[in-house]
Amino acid sequence: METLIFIPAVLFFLLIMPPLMLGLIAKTKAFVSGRRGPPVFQPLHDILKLLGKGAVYSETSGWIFRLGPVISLSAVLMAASLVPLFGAPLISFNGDAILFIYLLALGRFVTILAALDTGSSFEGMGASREAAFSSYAEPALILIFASLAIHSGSLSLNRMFSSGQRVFPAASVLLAGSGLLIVLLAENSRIPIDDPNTHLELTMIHEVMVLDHSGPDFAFILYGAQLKLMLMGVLWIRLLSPSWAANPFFLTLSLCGLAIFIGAIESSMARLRLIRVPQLLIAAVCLAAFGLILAVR
Amino acid sequence: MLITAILILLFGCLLSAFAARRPRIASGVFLTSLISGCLIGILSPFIGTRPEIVELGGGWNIPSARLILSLDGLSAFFLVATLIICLLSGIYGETYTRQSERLAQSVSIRPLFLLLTASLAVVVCAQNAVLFLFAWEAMALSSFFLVIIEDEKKENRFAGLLYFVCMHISALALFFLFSVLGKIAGTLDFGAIRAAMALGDKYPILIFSLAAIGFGLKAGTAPLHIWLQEAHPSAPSHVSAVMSGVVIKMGIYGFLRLIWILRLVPSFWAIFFIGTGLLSGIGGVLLALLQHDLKRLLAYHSVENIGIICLGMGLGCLGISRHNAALALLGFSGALFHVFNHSLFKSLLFLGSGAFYQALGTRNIEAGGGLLKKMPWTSATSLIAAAAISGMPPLNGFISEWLIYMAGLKALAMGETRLAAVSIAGLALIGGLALACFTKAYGALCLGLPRTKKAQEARDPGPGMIIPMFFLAAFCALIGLWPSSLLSFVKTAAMIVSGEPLGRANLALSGFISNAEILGLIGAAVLSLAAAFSFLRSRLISGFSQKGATWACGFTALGPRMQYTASSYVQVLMRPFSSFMGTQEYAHLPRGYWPTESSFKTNTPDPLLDGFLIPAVDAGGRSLSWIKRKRRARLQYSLFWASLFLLALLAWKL
Repeated sequence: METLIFIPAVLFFLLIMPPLMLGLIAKTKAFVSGRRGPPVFQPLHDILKLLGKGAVYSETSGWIFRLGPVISLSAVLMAASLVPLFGAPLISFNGDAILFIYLLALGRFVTILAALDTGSSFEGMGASREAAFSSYAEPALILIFASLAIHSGSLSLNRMFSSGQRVFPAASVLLAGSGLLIVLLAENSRIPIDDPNTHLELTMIHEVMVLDHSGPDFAFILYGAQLKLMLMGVLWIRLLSPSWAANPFFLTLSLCGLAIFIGAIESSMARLRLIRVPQLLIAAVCLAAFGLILAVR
Repeated sequence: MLITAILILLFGCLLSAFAARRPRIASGVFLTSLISGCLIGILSPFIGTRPEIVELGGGWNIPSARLILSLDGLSAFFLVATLIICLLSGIYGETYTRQSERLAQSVSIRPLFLLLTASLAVVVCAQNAVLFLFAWEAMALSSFFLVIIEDEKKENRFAGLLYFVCMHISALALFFLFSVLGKIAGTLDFGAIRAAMALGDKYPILIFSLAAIGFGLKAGTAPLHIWLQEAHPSAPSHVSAVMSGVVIKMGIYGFLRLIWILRLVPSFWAIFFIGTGLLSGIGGVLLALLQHDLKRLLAYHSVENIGIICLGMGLGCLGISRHNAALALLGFSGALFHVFNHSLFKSLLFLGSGAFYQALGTRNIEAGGGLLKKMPWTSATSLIAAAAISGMPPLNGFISEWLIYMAGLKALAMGETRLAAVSIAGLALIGGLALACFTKAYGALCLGLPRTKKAQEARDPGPGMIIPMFFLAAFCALIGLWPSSLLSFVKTAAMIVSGEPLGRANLALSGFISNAEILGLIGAAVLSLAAAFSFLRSRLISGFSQKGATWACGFTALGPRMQYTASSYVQVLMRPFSSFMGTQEYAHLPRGYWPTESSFKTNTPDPLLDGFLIPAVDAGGRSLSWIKRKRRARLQYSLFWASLFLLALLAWKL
């Protein structure tokens, strides 16, 4: 009986939930600005539609451009196998948290190279920003993981984010949680770091990097990005309340809540100027570092 | 076996020197002796009954000098890494030399390369301080002559001189170091000094500072890295590969051998290593980000990677000083693993840079572009190296960084919070910046459209250069996918350094070894998933794939000069650091309604060498110029002062 629920539930979280979260964010933003907005399943529909389409490849680009989407999606999927959704993850061992971070970095590495392969200055611009901002986000994420690892005694996501014998100071959770939220917004190109919905390629980060991808390639990229948002969302929810996340139903609810929360953030503020973004990310590093100091004391 | 290998190399050195005027014979001798010598040397730790110590007969008329070589786990580890790199770089170098008009005329390049290889093998195996210093000096001199082989260029002569001076400061410090150790132990044999050290250490600060200067200068730990970014670009590419891949690792070997000799190191060693590791790592990668010269960029990355190795060694030393065997083993394993990895991917990158240099005629990465299509093999192998050095998962660089992270966590759990936390955060920052730097260099060189005519006409070099690069890339992938192949070897070496018995090492490391296996399996899973997705994609779009121009928001005449350059790529990233990097900008901006020519150029000199040392030395030279004037006056005065000095000495001794 357990496995009978387990497998469909995991499939639900991996396949339906990521596009649904994005749909909810869009819906929230539409609601706040007084519009009706697209249906919540629009992102899922977009992906399915893109999978059925052909592709246009730039004459400038070579095999790295084709390699980018498939490697980055595979890396995110393997990262998903390390994250505890509502039960234990597929693979778990001491040190998998580092692998998680580096798999996301691998995805970024190939996406950047694919962007540079088109020879377009817009995509170069996006790649440059992505590389710059992620090199601040990465230390923040590692420090957050380190403070969690001190308490669980292991660098395994399953043990760091599980409910067993937690004596984690509330202040530490608060600091790590706010740091992780900033990293989550930055890594998934949300406002205030990036605005995926602007009309101007000049102002975007992640979206402008993938301007030239089309058809199934673009579907892979969109799905990978949505999955990454959901994975980090799961980690954030588990950080705040591990026992709550152990139930698939409650986890779904809280992920939807997180999506609405992100939508509310996006509706309530503008994107930061690019010069200000490093400051926000350094603030995340500082929050994480203070969290670590508190965790040790 | 080992002796045979060294003798073959030395014999080849002599023979190729005699035959230097006949390039074909010299080349044949070079390849035969290099391949046979290196292969025998690589196999020597593995086959036959392995004598721990080989002593050559015959006297050496220097007090307390003995010709002893040994092959313990640490020596064997460094020997294999050294000879693999020397072998592959040498084979590459043969074709590289022939293709370069200038190098083909050189009579000394082949014998010097063989001498360098032989001296490196002796350095890592020597068990006597005199023999060690002798080989150390041979290594420094042969690499010095290789650096200035194209001595008609002024910057090469400067780089050579700087290298020469630094290496001799290093050698001087080591002379003192071994004299101090010899005075304590009464002998200059490493094993005997180690035995004497059991009685307790004397002069810990003196020994430490001499080692930090002597080995630190060789390894290029910041702020002693000053020679690296000058010497690496000056040498021919295959020599840079050996220098960056192996020669600077001799400094690391020296530190590790000294830790083995001392048995116990005080905790300030750990603080030093972690401090210098962070400085080298972050400083190196930041300076690398600002470079346009490919080989200079790679040289700064060597500083960065030495920093990562130092972080591992620092955590290992912390384990030794706190008597925590697991931390010591883990830290040293991470450092040693990274030594091996870095020698593979960095020499691969230097070999690639040689191929790019010969195709483009310049080392400036902005002159490249689009080489992925023009030079597919060089670009593909360089991509593997770039991904590996950035620590990307299916490759070897990730495994060693992972080990160092795990050591950091272990230290954190022990309560060594400050050192552990700064190492972990520093390593993460270095990783992110390295990713930015290699995407920049690779993007500017290999991706997009060719920016110059030379780049348009570039071709892959011949198989003599491609095959060694292919082997190095294959090793990077193999170790990444199957880490335990190297880890058992690393474990033996780490055991020797930390002085732990085999049983305890197995107990402490077995969990990490099996986890590293999982890392390799997940890497393989990523690759197979990617293959599955690309199959799926080819099925989905079969027939519906078109070629088109790159989307430029409606603009259709996209040209190579409109691409993002390497300087603009790093501009966002470097803005927060700009105040202390000392980048010089030469901007000639467009003005008026009909702007004519405009240009923008940046140049980042080394903050320590060009920003401080050279001005300081110049100022010192000027302030002492009155002595120079005096000295120039007459020969009689010089003789007078010299005899006065001798008299004073005599009086002091009486």
